[in-house]
Amino acid sequence: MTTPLLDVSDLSVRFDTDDGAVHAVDGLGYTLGAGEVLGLVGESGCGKSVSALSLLGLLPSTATVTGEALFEGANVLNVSPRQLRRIRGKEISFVFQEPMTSLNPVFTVGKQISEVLRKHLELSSKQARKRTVELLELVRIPAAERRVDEYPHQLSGGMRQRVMIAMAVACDPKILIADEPTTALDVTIQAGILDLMRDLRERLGTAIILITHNLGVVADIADRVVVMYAGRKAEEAPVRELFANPQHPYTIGLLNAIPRLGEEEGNGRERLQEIPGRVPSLSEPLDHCAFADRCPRADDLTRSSVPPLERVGTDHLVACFHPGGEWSR
Amino acid sequence: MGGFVLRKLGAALIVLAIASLFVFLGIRALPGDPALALGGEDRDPQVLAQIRHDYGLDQPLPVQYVRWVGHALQGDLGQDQRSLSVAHTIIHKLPVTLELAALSVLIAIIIGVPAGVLAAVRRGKTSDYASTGVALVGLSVPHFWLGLMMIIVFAVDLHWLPAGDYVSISHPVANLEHLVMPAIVLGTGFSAVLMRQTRSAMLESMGADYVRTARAKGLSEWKVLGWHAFRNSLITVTTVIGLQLGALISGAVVTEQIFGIAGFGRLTIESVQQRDYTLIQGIVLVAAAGYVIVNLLVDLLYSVLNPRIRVSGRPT
Amino acid sequence: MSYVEVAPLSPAARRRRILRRRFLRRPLAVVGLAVAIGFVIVAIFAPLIAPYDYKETDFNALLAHPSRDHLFGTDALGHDIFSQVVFGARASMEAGVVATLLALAVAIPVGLIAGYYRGWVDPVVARLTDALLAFPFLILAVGLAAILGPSLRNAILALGIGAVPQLIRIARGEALALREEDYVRAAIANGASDFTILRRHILPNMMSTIIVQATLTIPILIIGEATLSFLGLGVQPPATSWGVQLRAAQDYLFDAPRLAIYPGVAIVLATLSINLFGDGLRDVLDPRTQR
Repeated sequence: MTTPLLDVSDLSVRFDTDDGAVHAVDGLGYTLGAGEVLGLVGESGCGKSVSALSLLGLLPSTATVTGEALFEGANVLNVSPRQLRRIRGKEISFVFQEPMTSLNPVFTVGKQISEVLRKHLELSSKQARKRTVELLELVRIPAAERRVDEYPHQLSGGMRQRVMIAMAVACDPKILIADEPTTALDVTIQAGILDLMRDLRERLGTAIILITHNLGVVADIADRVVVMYAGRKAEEAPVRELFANPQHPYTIGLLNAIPRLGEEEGNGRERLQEIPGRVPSLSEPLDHCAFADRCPRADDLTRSSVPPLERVGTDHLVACFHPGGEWSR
Repeated sequence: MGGFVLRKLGAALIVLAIASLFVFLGIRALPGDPALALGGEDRDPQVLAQIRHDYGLDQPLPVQYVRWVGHALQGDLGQDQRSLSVAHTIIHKLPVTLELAALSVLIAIIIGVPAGVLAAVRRGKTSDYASTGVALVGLSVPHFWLGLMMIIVFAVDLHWLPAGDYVSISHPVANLEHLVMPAIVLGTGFSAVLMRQTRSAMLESMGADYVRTARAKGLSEWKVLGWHAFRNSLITVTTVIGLQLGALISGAVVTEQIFGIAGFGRLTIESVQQRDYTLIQGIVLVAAAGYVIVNLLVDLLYSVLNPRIRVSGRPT
Repeated sequence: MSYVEVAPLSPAARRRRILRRRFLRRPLAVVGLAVAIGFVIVAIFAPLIAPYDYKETDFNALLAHPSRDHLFGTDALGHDIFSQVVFGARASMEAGVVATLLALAVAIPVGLIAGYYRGWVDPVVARLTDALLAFPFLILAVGLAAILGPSLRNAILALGIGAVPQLIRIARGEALALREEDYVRAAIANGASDFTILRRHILPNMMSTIIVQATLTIPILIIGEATLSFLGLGVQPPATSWGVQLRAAQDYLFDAPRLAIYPGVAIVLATLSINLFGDGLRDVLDPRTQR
């Protein structure tokens, strides 16, 4: 068992706002091996983006982060600002969700990519420009030579996202964190981006943390999956295992909710299964199972204590008092 | 960018035309016989008849307007009560005010913009509250009162600076000595506005996604804020400068009055006191035209700073 | 022990409570409001507060220093400065408020129509507004004073006209943005008349921005009135305002600077307090500010 590239344990994030505190992440832990693709899955507001942003210290000042995230021997949550700046963009890089607003509108695309090259690799401007063009070609942007001097508003959404990816892989990082990289894009473009990411992983051997609420994306590209709910980890398993044998009622609910075409059950049409209820308010850390309000298996136990993480198979973890159950297919 | 420039130019011309119409109608709105107003105190029927002829007052209104505009475009703004060319008088007094205005703008930018950036960067800390507080006071002080106070302190009590008058620029040191206080007084309100606008523009760009991206790339805070964020806020700040010019002209009028500077501003007051309508007309027209022209220049500057305009000709 | 049933707050009441809480968290804004209200009270109850009438002269005490009889001293004609400052509040506050209201009366409908209907109305309004902006309010006041003669009423008119362009811009911007809101579109789809939409959906929702802007306009116009009166273009003696007092103080700058200091400080305090309040109001009503 080799040391994981990234070892996150007991990560918690609390926001202090005008209207009270919000406990966005509560005791999250996972590991990431070199070259591995980890899918971080959950619905909007479950804390997956926040947990990723906290790794690079990109949260606003109203956030308090506790816990440990060991990367190359150091706790990334605790390093000095100087060390953090050396890690950002070079060892660990981030691809944001909104390509429209994540690029600076007043600088050319090329300049923004060269910037990170010159900062970390200390290239001359000529070398940086050359490498920038190469990167643009790597992310499959046509007419890269011309695009280098264009402004973000001149590119389409899909191309902007590719530029962001180019910026992120420019210095050959060990870990690439992609936060919903395809959510803001058209479905037809999504496939291209995922293809690109798979390609990059093959070629560069970068480990990827892919954050998404889309299980289809996860099935496509991830090696392992962590399912989050209300700031906590609900389940973790290798991707095939998760889809074949989901244990947590939330995961089961998610998988059930995926519409399938051409079903023959009943009169050929099945009602989309939904998970009733809503995500609990996070103004206090919950002292019971976060999913209890919506869970078909809820009982006094789940409403009074927090389910611990338990192993239910090789590499398969679940935080549930009543795991397993009806799941066909 | 060409399209943008042409559009702005066209708009400016229209605005100028409307403004000139306002001025023209304003004077004509005087109760009573315009000939009397234009001629001053003279009641001699022959003189009045001559005035009517000269000014084409017997012609229909639109014709009068066209004649007046035609004359104005050729640089002829008529004659004032003392039969001096209005245009000449104005051109004579304008440079003084322009110098005062330029100095004030310079002072305002040098003080206001860095203060605003600092306040934004150190938001919530003491230096933010301090600068914002000072700016707020600067906005709440009538600058003519500030002028009076400064005169009391610097000229009367401390005898550091002269209390008024104007020395021509051929004596640079004395010239500056005399203009320092007026320029500071005039620039105060402006710098307060600039400071607040810069601060809020900076705060907005600091909270933008692309700033977070810049941080994620590992850039130093200097680069992130001073380069990425600031460059974006510059766009907003430029537009503010153009809008403040009106206030600057107003301010110049009062400042010159207090400090005894014989410039365009003082001329304005005198023209009202003397009920010299031709002069007033010329002054108002020149002021309006100046404002429109400067704003046009500011718009051009804006297009240079904002690539979205420069490259594709429309904002976003 | 019994439990007390507390009725849940309606969303509007809850919002008001949240806003009030946020406001109270800003001591500066609260102080500003208190001082501003103080000035309003002084202006309204001036005759009761001032020890003397502002026209009253005391020839035994010319240019007197502050004393028990005369809190701020007297001016060159024996007027009690304190009373003058108190009465001066009236003209200045009146000018600020009335001129702002005038401007709003014009700007809100015009801006609303321009922003909501767009079409050909919008560019026309934009050009007219720009043309109006080309006349700094002082120049406007000068022009008006020349045509109609100097008076407080004309000063208020000039100030109001000067404030119109900015308010039109704000109103127009709000109407433009609100027009795109989903509930407006839903109302249109349901066949609501334009008037109803404007009255029930657009106007109420832009009120908070307008109120903030109006609150921040008043101090500007107070200073404007002071400036105009200082130049002789506004309030005419024997009526008094802070600006008029400053004009008279000019001649005694060297001998009795306090003649200029007291009215000036009054202006600064009045405008500062309203500015603080307006700023706080804006922070509270803007959903984007985080604390």
